[in-house]
Amino acid sequence: MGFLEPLQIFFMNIAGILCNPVTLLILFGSVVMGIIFGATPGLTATLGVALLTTLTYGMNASTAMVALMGIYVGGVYGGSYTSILVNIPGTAASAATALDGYPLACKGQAGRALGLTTTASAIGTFIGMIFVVLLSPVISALALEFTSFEFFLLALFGIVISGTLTSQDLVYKGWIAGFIGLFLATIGRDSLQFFPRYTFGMTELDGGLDLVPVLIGAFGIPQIIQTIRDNFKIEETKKFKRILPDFKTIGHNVPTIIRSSLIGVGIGAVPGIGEDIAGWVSYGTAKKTSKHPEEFGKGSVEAVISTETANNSCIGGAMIPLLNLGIPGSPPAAMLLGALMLHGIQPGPMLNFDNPTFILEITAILLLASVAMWVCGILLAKQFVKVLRVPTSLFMPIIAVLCIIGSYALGTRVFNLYLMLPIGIIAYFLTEMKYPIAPLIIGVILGDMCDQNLRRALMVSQGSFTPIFTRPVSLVLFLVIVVMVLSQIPFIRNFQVKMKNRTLKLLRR
Amino acid sequence: MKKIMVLLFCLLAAAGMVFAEGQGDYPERDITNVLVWGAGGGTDTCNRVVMAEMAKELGVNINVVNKPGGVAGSVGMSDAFARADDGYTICGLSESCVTSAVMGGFPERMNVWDFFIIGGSPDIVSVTPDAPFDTIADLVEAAKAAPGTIRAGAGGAGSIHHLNLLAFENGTGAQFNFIPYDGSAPSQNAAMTGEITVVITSVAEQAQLIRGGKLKPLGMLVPDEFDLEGTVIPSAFDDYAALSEFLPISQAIGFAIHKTADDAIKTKLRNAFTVAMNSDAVVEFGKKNFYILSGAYGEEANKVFDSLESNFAWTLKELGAAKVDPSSLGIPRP
Amino acid sequence: MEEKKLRQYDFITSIFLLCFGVWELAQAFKMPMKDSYGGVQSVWYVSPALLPLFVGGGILLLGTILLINSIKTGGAADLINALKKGWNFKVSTPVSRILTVVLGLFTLIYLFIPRIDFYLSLALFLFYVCAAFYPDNENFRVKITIRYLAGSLVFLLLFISGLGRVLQDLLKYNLDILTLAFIIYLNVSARHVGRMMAIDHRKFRTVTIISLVVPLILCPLFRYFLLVPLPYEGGIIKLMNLAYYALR
Repeated sequence: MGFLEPLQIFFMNIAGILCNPVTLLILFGSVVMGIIFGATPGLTATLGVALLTTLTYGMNASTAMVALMGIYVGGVYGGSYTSILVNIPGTAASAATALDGYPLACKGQAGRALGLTTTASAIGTFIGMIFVVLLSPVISALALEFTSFEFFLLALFGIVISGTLTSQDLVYKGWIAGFIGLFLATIGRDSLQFFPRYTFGMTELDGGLDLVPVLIGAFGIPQIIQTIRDNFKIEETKKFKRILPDFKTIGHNVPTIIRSSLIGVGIGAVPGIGEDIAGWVSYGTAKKTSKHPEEFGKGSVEAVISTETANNSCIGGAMIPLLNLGIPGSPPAAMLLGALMLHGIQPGPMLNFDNPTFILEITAILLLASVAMWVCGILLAKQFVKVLRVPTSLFMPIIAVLCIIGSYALGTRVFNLYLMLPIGIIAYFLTEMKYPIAPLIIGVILGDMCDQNLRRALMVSQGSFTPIFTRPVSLVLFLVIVVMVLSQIPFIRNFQVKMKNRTLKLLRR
Repeated sequence: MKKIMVLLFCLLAAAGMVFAEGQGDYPERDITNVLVWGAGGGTDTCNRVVMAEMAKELGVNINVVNKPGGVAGSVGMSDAFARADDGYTICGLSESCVTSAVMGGFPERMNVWDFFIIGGSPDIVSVTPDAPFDTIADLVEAAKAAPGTIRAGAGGAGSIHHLNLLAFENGTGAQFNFIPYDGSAPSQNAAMTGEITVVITSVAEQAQLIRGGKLKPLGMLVPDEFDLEGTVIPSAFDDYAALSEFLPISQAIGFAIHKTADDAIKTKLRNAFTVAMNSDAVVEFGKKNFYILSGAYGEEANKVFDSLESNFAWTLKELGAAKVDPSSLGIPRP
Repeated sequence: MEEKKLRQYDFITSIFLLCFGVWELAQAFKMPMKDSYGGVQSVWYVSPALLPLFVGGGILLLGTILLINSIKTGGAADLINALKKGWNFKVSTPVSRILTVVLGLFTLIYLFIPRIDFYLSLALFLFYVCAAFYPDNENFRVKITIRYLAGSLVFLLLFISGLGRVLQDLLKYNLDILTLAFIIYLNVSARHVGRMMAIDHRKFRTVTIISLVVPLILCPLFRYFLLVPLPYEGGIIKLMNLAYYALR
């Protein structure tokens, strides 16, 4: 492919989506849904992607990706609404936005703040997209170096990451969750020899656990139970008249935007740390470099812009390992990976052979999603805020029904429901005991890949491990894994807590 | 309160209508095609193309619903089988489904269905471009010289391509080191990375790679040679006549209805099927995607599936992967 | 959950994990480790037991670490002390709220969805859960839960005793009609109890509307737009079918 051909495919994709009213409708619809999911505390972008996976299963893969990317982008952005208007972050990613967004709203500048976050998020998504285009060819150039050994090490890498997604409590709780996920992945007939593992003789389990009911159960049910248990209520939201894009302020903050989006892309690209950390790190850096650090925490425009740019550019960053290596770095990315696999697209080094234009399609969709998000945000913000007035006691049962129909519809098996509820209840207890759920999901998704590639690799090498050390890519992967495992043992406390503490310390200063 | 009573009354009245549901000429409402594999696969696309043509002929919609899962499509098959034999549910399937019974996924033999075969793509033996084999004879001789060292991929264990590999081994006396993959695409990818040397999958699946020079085609596993856009691929039967004892085992994509369905319904479907198979859209689709179209139905199609069933079932039994003994199901030895 | 409670729970979890790890390993050792299976020559490194052995070992190891930690930090001792004092059976409000929603989900999934018309199952669930939480009155929630539980038990008995079958043979939609009657009973008695507790009757109107309209949107959406056959298609879905084919 020359230089022009990718560009041509890129614009053809954009034109294709813009010219088809159905896809356009799906794009805007899913962005709106994403914003609502992001804005509502108790619902996350992850759950939104999970529920939408079912709805889009019948569509072709590219249309489904329009919907899924739309809800992802919308969901990460939507969190800023509640952060600014009610001081309750709608998603963890927008927690840092609340620090300065809410004071701004108290000063009567809610409309301005929302306008700024909307524009900043759109720009962040756009910059993230550029990095997907720039970095993907570099990684995929190595594709032919990936044999079973490398695939095994990749899967192992993904699973080792689950250790970094540790809870606020004991570090190894992440590992325990990961192992439980791996166990769930072994259920069913193994893919090399068809030996039934842990099926208890039930034919329903022969094909293994369906991914979607596990995902919906593990993410949806605990949220429903928690929200209902705590009788969660949203206080009166701050009023605002109109959303203003305020391009002048954006113009003044170009350095902040660029720095924050670089931070976002970087953090997103490192698997295991997601949008929420990006927001905090970017906030801390912005404060350190700002000319007016004393304004931070009291309603600084710069702070709001920095956090929202970072968490949205993180999407692009997270797509890089997801598409090129098949490693999900964050919970919503894990969901996306599951959705892609359902559509018969296996992200990873081979993606460029199986679907040569897929990455360009994704970037085209990302660009359009950021535009759609900006348009929706500027025009419809007032309507979204109305959703927040629906009491959770009415909202959550409806979400429960959606979870049920969502986990049923994909396999149209009632058996999946029988599985979903127990998994959901176990996940609730695990969440209560401060076990993170994301490693469990990563274990379920990557378990099979890890299992069959290791065995196949050993089959090819007749039981010898030496290829790990003689093949360049696998040696690098192996060293990275070793470094990761070693680094986790001494720094017992996880990165997330450290980062948050550091920023909080900065704030107190 | 009153409103609820009114609502209740309306519901009851409407419930009466449900019983009065009339019986007109088949088909009077939409037909559902429960497809046992996921969206986008070969069985899925073939069925969708043919269903669209049949729908025109029958005058109702045919909705294709994907219901993958279980072993060898058992979930979708069981679901379609559990529905009434009124012709409004058909089951989209392919040859691999015949293993469902011996794998313990489906309690019945395949003879509970009445089949319609759309077609399939023949299997082909290919090697990596840098491999030192230029003809099928080179490959077989090398494999005979060092049995079990040349690595061969052919989809998953027990798949149609694996059966073809086994038949190829039996017919030529060569022995390969079989490396199982999740499906055809991963095994072809593995050939590109050099992890395996030989790959046996269908022409439809390899066409792109052969044209791109990423795989070198050696021979077809059917009696006839194959013209792939100008490149003529010889039949492996030319060099090894003994192959005809074991081959061809060809793909059979199609759909099925209950055998117990009314004859009038079967005739309607068969006529529509024949019209669809001869339509330009289907013929064009077959040509473009390297499918050999069949169009068989009734006795003819059922015979094909019977022989596939006995072949698959007993091969799996020999491999030790069968959960249910084929003789206990009454499946004859091939 | 606070630190001290967590350590106590860790003790229980670690015991669970240890048992689970042992069971997992025991199962793994039963898997084929040699001889040919599935057309592949089985050696230890291609055995399907490879990953289960690793997982079982990992869980055992981590379970042991968790156990040691909970003993060291005193969690285990606290728990045993608490146990010695005897279980405290008082169910706190949050716990009983959880039980309410879990009861709703449990009966919906295991009792109603497989056997009763999908529309009615969803309507019943939505009415019960929304009515239990929306009025925001704990006494009311308990009252309506008792009624719901009693009704569900009746259905359970019907299914277990086989009486439901008999009724269905008599008239195909008998169970659906019975469920409809249950929904109406629940609605009427909720309003009745609500009036005594001085709960705004408009709340019940909202709940009724939600419970009827949400499934009315979802069922056709999935049945006709996404072409998903619903789990059990009884009387109401049949009605929708009739309406759908008449309109088209």
